Amino acid sequence: MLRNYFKLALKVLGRNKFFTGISLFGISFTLLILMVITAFYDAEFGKNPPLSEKGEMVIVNRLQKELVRPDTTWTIDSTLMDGLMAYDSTYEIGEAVNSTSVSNPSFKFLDDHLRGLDGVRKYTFFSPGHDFNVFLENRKLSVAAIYTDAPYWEIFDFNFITGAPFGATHLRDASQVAVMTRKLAREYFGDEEKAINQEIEIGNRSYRVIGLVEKASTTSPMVAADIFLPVSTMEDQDLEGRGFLGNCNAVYLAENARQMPLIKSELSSRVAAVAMPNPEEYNRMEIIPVNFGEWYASELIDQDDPAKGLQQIRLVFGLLLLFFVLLPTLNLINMNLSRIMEREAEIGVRKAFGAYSGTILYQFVFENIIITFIGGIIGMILAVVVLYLINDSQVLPELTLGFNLRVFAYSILICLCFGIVSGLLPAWKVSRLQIADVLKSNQL
Amino acid sequence: MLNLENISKVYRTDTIETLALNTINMKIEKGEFLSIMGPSGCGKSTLLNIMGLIDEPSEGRVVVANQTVADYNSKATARFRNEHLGFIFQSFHLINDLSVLDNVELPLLYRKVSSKERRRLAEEALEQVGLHNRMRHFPSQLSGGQKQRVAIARAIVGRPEIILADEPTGNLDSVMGNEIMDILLRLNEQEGTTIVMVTHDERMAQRTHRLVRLFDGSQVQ
Amino acid sequence: MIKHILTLVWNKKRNNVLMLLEIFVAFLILFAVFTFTIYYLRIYQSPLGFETEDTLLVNLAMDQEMDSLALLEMRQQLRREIESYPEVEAMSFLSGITPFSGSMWSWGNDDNGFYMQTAIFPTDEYYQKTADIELAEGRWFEEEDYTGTYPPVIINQKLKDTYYPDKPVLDSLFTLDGENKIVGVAKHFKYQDEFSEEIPLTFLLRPLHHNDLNSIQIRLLPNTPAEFEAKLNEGLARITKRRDFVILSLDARRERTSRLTWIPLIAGLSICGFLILNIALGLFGVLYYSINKRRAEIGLRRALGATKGEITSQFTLEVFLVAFAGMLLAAVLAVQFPLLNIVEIPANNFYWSILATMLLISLVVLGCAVTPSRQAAGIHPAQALHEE
Repeated sequence: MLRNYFKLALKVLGRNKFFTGISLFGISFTLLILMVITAFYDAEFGKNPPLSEKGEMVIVNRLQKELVRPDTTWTIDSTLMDGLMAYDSTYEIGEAVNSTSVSNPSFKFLDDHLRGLDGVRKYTFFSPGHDFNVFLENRKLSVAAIYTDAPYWEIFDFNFITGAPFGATHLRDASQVAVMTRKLAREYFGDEEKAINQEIEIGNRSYRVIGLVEKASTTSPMVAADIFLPVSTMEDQDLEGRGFLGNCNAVYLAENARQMPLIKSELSSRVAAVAMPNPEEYNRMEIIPVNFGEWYASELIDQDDPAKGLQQIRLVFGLLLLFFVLLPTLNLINMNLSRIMEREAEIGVRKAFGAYSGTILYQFVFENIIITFIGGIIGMILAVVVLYLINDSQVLPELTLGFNLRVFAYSILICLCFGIVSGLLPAWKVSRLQIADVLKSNQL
Repeated sequence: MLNLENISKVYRTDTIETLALNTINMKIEKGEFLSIMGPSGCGKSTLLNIMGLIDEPSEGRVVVANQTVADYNSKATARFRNEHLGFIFQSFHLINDLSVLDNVELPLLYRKVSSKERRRLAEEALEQVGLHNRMRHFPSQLSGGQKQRVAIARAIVGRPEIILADEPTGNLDSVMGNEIMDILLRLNEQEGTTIVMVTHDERMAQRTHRLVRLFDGSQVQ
Repeated sequence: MIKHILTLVWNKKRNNVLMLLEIFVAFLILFAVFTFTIYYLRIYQSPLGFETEDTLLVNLAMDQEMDSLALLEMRQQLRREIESYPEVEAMSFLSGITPFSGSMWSWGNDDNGFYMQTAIFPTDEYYQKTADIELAEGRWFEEEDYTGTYPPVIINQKLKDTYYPDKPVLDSLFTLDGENKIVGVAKHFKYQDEFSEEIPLTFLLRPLHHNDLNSIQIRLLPNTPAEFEAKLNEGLARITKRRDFVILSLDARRERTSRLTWIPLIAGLSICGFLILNIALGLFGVLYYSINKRRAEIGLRRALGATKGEITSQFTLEVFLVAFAGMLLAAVLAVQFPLLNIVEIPANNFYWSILATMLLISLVVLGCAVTPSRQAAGIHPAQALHEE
C-alpha cells in the first residue's frame, strides 16, 4: 500500500511540473531558512562543548553599587550595553533617588565573599575580556585572553587537541603556562603542530604553551578567547585590588538544576550582607545571579530583571518565527488545495469504488509529506552550502555554524510538521467531497 | 437581418481534419422563429455559435444589419453581441456564485447602465419568466426548468433583436420543456424577437415557423 | 462593475479566505521588516558629526587605587609622549564613554523647571580638533575654562532643539552638575553607533586628574603606516607599566558596530525577499489554476458581450480586491503600533512602512493576476462553453 502511494505521489508530482516546482521552491527555501536558524540556535544555545553544562550554571557577572538617598532629586544612570538592541529604558525617576555603579566584581571580592556555597558541585572565578596587542614582524595580532583558575577547565569542557589544561599546582606557583586556541597557534607560530612547549609573549611576560583547544563557537565572552592564562599571573592590581568592582566573573555549577534558585538566593543574600566601606559614596550593593539563558538575554536587551528579559526575547523570536513559518504554510495549503481540487474526478472515482474518507486523507497527507521531504532534502543541501558560505565569509566571526546530527534531527522534525500541517487541511477538505457532486460537476 | 454566406467550418487537430459545416447559406428574417435540427455532431451548435459571433467560420462571411463581421475578437463585435444578441444554452450556464438577480443583470454590466436601471430591467425580465419571487436565490437552489427560465431572463434583459438558443429544452423533462417553449413563443409573438433554436426534439421544432435540417455539416432542407 | 465584482468576491468568500489570510500575514511581516529598515536607514543617513578616519582609540587599564596626583602626572607624561610623535595630529583623553563603545552615561534631573535627560560625554579641550567636531555656535572648551566660575559644557543641537527650541542658549546657565555654563553647541554628535538615534548630549570638561579618563583618542596624519601602532604600544606600556590595553582603529570599530545592525537588517530583508517570491509564485500558480477553472464563465461573459479587456480587468480586480481586504485588515492592526506607542520608534516610520508594504504587495498581486487573467480572456467562447 505504502509503495503504491509512493509511486502515485511521484507520478502526481511529475504530472504538474509547474505546481511541483513552485511547491518545491517554497518548501526547500523555507526549510533552508529554518535549518540555518536552527544551526544558529544550536551554536548559541545548544549544549555544545565547552558549554555542555550550561543548563546548571549560575553566573555572577554584574555587581551593582548603589547610593540610596531619599532627599536628593537627580538620577545618574550609567548603562553598559554591549548588545545590538541599544534602546535604553532608564528614564525612571524613583522616589528614592540613587546613583549606581555597575561593573564586574573584582577577584578579591569573589575570593573574600563568594566561596563555599551549598549545592554547588564546582565553581570558578575567572577574568575575561583582556585584550593584548601582540606585534609580530610588522603584524599586529589582537589577542583576547581569559585569566582562569583550575576548576574552569572542569566546568567548561573544552576539546583539547593536544596537551592539557593547567591545574592547581600551576595556579599556586603562578606558573607562566598557557592554553591557546588552534587558531592563535596558527597565527602566532605559523604551525599548530609546533606550538606545544613554545613560549608566547603576552603583556610583558612569557608563557609556555601547554595545551591547544578548539576555538569555542559562541559569542559568550566566558569562553570566547584566544588564550587562557592562570589567574594567579594576572596583573597585581587586578588580583589584589581591594575595590569591590573589577573584571572578574564567577560561574557556579549546581549539583542539579533544582539547586539553582537556592544558589542564586544565597549569592544575593551574601552580597547584601557585605558591609560597605564608604557609605557616603555608596550604601547598598546587590548582584543579580543569572542562568545562561538570562545571561544571554541581559546581553541582548537592557532589562533590569534578566528573567523578564529572557521571556521578552523568547516571545519576540517565537512570534517572528511563527509568522515566518505561517506564510509559506498558508501558501502551500493554498496551492495544495488547488492541486487537489484538480483531482476531484480521481477522488470521485476512488470513492465510488469504495475508498472511504480516511484512506483518501492518508493518501494526500502522505503525498504531501513525500513532496515536503524532497523539498527538505533540497533545502538541506542548500543549507549546507549556505552554512559554509556564512562561515567562510566571517559574517559571524565568533561562530562556526555546523550542520550536525542534532540540526539534522531538528530538520527532519520540521519537515514532518510542515508536511502534515500543509497537507492536512486540503486533504480533509477533499476527503469530504460528495461523490455525486464530483462526478457530475459540469457547472460553472 | 442575419445572412450566412457560404459558411464552412473546419476543425483541425494534429492528425484529423473534420468538416463541421459545409458551405451553408442561410438568411434569417426579422421576427422569425427558426429551428435547426439534426443528429448529434451534425454541426448545429457550431452553426449557432457562428451566428452568435462567438465562433469564426473557416470560410464564408456573416453579414448582420448589412455589415460584414470582420474581426471576431474586436471590441465592436463584443459590443454587437452585447446589444443585439441573446444566448440560451442547454446546460444553462448560470454563475453559481451569483444570485439569480445578479446573473440576469450580467449582460447589462457590459453597457453603460446605472445599477438602479440594471436592477429594474432585471426584475422586469424575471417577471416575464415568472421568477421574480426567486430573485435572491442562488442557481443551486433552483430546479432545471427554473434555471432555464433564469437563463431566458438573462437573454432578454438587454432587449436583443435575436435570441440564439442551443437546445434550451435538452436537459428538461417534457412538462418543463413545454413551459420554456411557451415563453420563447410568447417572446417571439409579443416582442417580435427573432429566435434561432437548435433542438433535436421534433415536437418542439414543429412549433416554430421554419425548420432547417443539417446532416454532416450540410443543409438538407 | 466594482459592485458586481464585490458581490462575486463576497459570494466566493470561502474560496478567498485563504488568500486573504496569506496577504494579511505577509503584510504584517513586511510591515515589521520595513518599519525597522526605514527607521534604521533614516538614522544611518543622519550625520555622525565627527571624523573616524585615521583615528586610534586606546583603552588603558588603569590602576583603580592611584591617587589624583599620580594620575595627573601619568597623563601629562602620556600627553607629552604621544604629542612628541610626528605622526600624531591631535589627541584627547576620554572616559570609558568612547565612540561606538556601547557604553553610555546619562543624567536626568528636573532642576531647570522641566525634566531633562542628557547623555554625558566627558572629554578635554583638544577633542574638537581630535574628532573634527563642527560647532553650530559658540566655541569649544579652552584651557581657561578649568578655572572659570561655572564649569563649562557644550551641548549638541539635539539637546537645544529638544529642551530650548526657541531660546538662545549660549552663555546661559543650566543645572546639570551644579550650575553649568553653555559655551558652545555642536551640530551633531551621534557617538553610540551609526544606527542609534542622536540623543541630547552634553560634553563635560574633565580635568586631567579625574579618575575616569581612561581612554585616549588619537588623530593621525593621513597614511600613517601600521608600524606606528607598535611604537605607540611601547610608549604606552613604558609609561603605564601595563600591557593589557587595546589599540584599535575607530573606523574598524565603527564598521563592527554597524555590522550588528546590518546583519539582522539584511537577513530580514532577504528573508522577506524570499517570502515575497514564494507568495508571488504561489499566487500565480493558484490564480492560474482557479481562473482556468472558470473558463466556462469566461466564455459566457464573452458571449454576453464582454470585451477581452473587461474580462482581464474583472479578474485582476477580483484578485486585487481580496488582497486589498487583507491589506486593509492588516493595516488596521499595523496602525495600532504608532497609535498606541507600542514600540519606541517615531510614528512616521510606521506610516511610510505601511505605504511601502501596500505598494509592494499590490504590485506583486497585480503582477501575478494580470497574466493568468489575460490568458483566460483570450479563450474562445465557443470552445469554453462546450468543453464539459
